[in-house]
Amino acid sequence: MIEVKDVHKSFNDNEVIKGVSLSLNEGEVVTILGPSGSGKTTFLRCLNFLEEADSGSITVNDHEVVFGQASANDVLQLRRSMGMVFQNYALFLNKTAKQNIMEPMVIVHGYSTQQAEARAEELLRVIGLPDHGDYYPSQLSGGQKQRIGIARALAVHPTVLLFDEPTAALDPELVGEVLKVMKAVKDAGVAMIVVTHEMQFAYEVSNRVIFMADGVIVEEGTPQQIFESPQEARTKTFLNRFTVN
Amino acid sequence: MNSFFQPHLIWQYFPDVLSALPVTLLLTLVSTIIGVIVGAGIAYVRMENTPFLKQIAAVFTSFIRGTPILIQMFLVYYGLPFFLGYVGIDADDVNALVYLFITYGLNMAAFLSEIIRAALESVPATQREAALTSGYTKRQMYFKIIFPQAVIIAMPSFATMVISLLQDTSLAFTIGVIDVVGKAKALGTATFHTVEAYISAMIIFIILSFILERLFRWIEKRSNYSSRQMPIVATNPVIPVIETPKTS
Repeated sequence: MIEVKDVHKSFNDNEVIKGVSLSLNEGEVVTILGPSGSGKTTFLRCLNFLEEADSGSITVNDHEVVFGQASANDVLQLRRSMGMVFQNYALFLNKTAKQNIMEPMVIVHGYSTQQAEARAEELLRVIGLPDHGDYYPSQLSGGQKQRIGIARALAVHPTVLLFDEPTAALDPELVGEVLKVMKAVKDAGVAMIVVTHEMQFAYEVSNRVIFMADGVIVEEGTPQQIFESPQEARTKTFLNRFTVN
Repeated sequence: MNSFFQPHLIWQYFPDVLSALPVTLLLTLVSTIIGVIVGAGIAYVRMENTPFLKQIAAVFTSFIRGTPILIQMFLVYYGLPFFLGYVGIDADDVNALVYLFITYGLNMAAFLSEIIRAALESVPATQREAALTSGYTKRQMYFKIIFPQAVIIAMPSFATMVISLLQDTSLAFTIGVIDVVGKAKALGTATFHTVEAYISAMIIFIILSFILERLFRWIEKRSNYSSRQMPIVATNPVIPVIETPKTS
């Protein structure tokens, strides 16, 4: 139900995405791995128009949007069905944790304040922060902020959640609590596209793993296929540094 | 007429000088409002790089910041009616205060535009991205996320500008407007006790500035969310399984 076709993106004369396609079914988790500069983050950001791809298309729930020809309304509708979790959490600094979760519900999706508040409180419980609703981001640790960021994206029932290296800015002790929440997101049946370096997570939680390098998909398969029997030399080189249990 | 310094006169003149306070306050308030509105416009034009307007804004700002406010005042007061006369508008009956609103308003606008622009650019780019990817329209993003944060960032500099403007209004008497300083001058001319009269005016300015400073500091404290003293509670390591049904 999510189809991304043949994305191309150049920065000036430098082509960073050279025809990448991806499809995702409901509830599926796809992890994109790759070295820095492979284009994986740029690709992810093209999906919700944070970057403007030069060509290709994305179809979510039978609604197709063509890169380069999308109207502002197309982009808005697309974004309303996709959530994003950022490497630096990107919580609204002028709102409390609970308000962060509530705002998109009320402002973008027309929930009433009571509905939004009830759902926000429920999500706070679920991510393990029931008493932190009135704290501002400046008073929270990175792991807490990221969990709230996930809750904020999740609150509006997105079709797919995009994760841009969600744990890259966290120290190792805090990574675990965020990965736990991400597993729970999968269990709740939300499709996820995750760009990450957390190999263990990719192995355990993904339905599919994509390895990207130099702007193309080098190899794609199940976690078992990619981690245990990679076919391409490039993939092997990359994975050599990681041992998976 | 005793020309020795007589301290008791300071208090004697006080009510009289104080009676002109509304003029000073009005001047400060209206000029600030004009400054914010026009300043925001200038900031917008410079940030959006609007081709023709951006150059006008740059020249205007340089001029304002590069000339004494007294000269700006005379140019507006003596020059504007002249030019308006060319276009057939009669500016004879216009209150001198209006010229001051224009002068001080434009002056504030030039300085505030930089403060506004800097504040807007200080809001982290990821705030925009988080809002946009959540499905906010640009308008929603600006009014709900960007502007509130920019206002708090700009507040200290804005406070400085307003208090500075308060002192600058003291030049108003040069075109005959009777504000606090004008009153003091008139009083001094009439009684030859100019020093006492000006000290009286000075006290009013000190008190006003103090009040303004306190007011702005209170505003900053109340709206500042990045320095509250709530303790960071330890993270909860145990996370229950999500059982969120997909209801809306």
